[in-house]
Amino acid sequence: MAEEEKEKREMEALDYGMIILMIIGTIIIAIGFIKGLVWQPWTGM
Amino acid sequence: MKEKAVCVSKLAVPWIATLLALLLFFPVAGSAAVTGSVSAKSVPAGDTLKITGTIEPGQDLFITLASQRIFVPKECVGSKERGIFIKEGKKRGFNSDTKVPYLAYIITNNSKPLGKVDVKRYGGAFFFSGLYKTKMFYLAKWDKVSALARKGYLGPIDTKEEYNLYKFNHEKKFGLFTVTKERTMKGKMPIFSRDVLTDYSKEPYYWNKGTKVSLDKATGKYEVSFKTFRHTYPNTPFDVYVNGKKVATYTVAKNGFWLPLGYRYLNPVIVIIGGIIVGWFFSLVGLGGGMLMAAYQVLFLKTSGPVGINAANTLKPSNLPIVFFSPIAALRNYWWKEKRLVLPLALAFGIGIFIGAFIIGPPISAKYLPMAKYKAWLGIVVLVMAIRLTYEMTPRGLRASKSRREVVKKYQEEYKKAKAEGVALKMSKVETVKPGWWTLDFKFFGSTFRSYPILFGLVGVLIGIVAVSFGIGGGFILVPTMTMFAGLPMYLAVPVSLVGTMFSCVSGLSGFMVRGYWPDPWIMLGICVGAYIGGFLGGRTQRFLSEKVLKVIATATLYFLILRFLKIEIWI
Repeated sequence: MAEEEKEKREMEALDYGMIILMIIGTIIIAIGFIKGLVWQPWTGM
Repeated sequence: MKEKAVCVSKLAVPWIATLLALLLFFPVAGSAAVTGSVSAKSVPAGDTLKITGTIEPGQDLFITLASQRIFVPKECVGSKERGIFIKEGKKRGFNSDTKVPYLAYIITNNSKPLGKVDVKRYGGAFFFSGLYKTKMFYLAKWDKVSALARKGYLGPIDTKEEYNLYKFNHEKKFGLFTVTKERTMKGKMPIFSRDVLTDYSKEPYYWNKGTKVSLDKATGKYEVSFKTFRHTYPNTPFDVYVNGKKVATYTVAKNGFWLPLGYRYLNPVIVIIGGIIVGWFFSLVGLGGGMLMAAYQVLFLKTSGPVGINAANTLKPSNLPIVFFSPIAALRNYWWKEKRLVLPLALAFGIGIFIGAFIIGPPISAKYLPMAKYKAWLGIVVLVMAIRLTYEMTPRGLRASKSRREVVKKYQEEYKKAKAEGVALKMSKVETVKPGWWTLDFKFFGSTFRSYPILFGLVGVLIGIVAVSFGIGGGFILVPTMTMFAGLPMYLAVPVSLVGTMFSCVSGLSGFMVRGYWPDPWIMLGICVGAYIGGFLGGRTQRFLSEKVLKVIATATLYFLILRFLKIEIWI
């Protein structure tokens, strides 16, 4: 039983790993989106 | 004494009068004869502007329209582009602090003093470049135009360096895609950026379309119509110089939805439609999402990037999110429902991809793959993909694909059984049989497989570089690496490849961003929303389409794209 519990926890940890990867990706995309909105690059004006 | 003084002053009067006449009359005569006014102070981008007025009778007309917004190489936003401008400047005779208007046109009734119309070979790529012939206006060398330029006839472009930079921005693809962004097209191919324009009815060349010049040499009266660039930066003020005299200013106003970094007026719905088509295709075929979206951007959105950043370096980061969002739905099935993901493998690739896509890839890609080269190389990537799909349609390929499906089905059944027995978790745990850096044997769901961690890591680096170079995921290299070279079954390779492409996106996008190359927010958002809807539709329409039909359509599309990107097909 204890073994099974341990394995389950391991799998859950991997689940969280995937979720973290998705969150990181979403944050990076969100940063790109916001910067893209506010950034107005121009030279020599 | 008094008499003498009077005498001197009497003599001086006509002299002074003559001198005054010389000083005042001539410049007045020179400039008073030049007049000009514009039809509107503000003209929406893409609309026609009329300029009327008079010049000295008997003279030729030179109207320069120059944007007040200027471009200076040393202030170039993109660091890699700045380096290229400095290097090119040494070769072509301009400096890093040379200033030119970002857009400038010279409209004239006589273009001969400014250059000549000559043959331009275009189309084709690599060793077969220059397949087709057309004409183009080549600006003359500085020595020939210097007299005109010094008189101010070219407006603010009045030094050799400024003229050389102007020439580079208009005649070279790198300048066109980095500064002017105005593609004067023949068929579907950008040839140059229009610079010297004359009356279309007299010289019916493609770049003169929308330009009318009428000049009455006897009276000096002129009337000029000029079609403004459809994608001029919103509210850009322009100065109008007529034969060296600044006579008016006008503003090219916003006309539509402006993509802040895509640098075009475009309805975001068009982006979403592209995302839907690509997302739908991706969910049915399982790969090629990033590549197709890149092709959609090149062909339909024509992402241009801000002044100072080459078009390709905005296209790539804007494209990467599709390889993040489109696998999510599939991955949910593979991981949460079927536990079909070998995480150590995904990690080996992931680390490699991170190194390739975050550290090595972005600087190489930003420097060596500007828009002109990007398209040709994207053609090669598409070719690899097309060959693969063609193989899959051969009887042998079809058999392989059938047996793959059977293996997947078998796995799914086994997983179901194992779940019912309550041993699914235990079986889907990756068990190391023989550890090692070079070869690693692992047990997954009852079978033993061999993998090569270091090799996979190195392949990951390569995939990272390729992925970030094109703004794609790289699944098309990941899957064959695992199945053909390492002999892993498809049901293990596909989920790992999906995680790999997500790594490509996360590391590639952040790699571009930390180096100052940001994505266009609306293109990115449109792609994400579209891909999500497309993925959803794909799942619902799957059963109505046979795999064969789908692959035929996909392959035909890919071959068309190859012909286009290698610039063999240039009309459709």
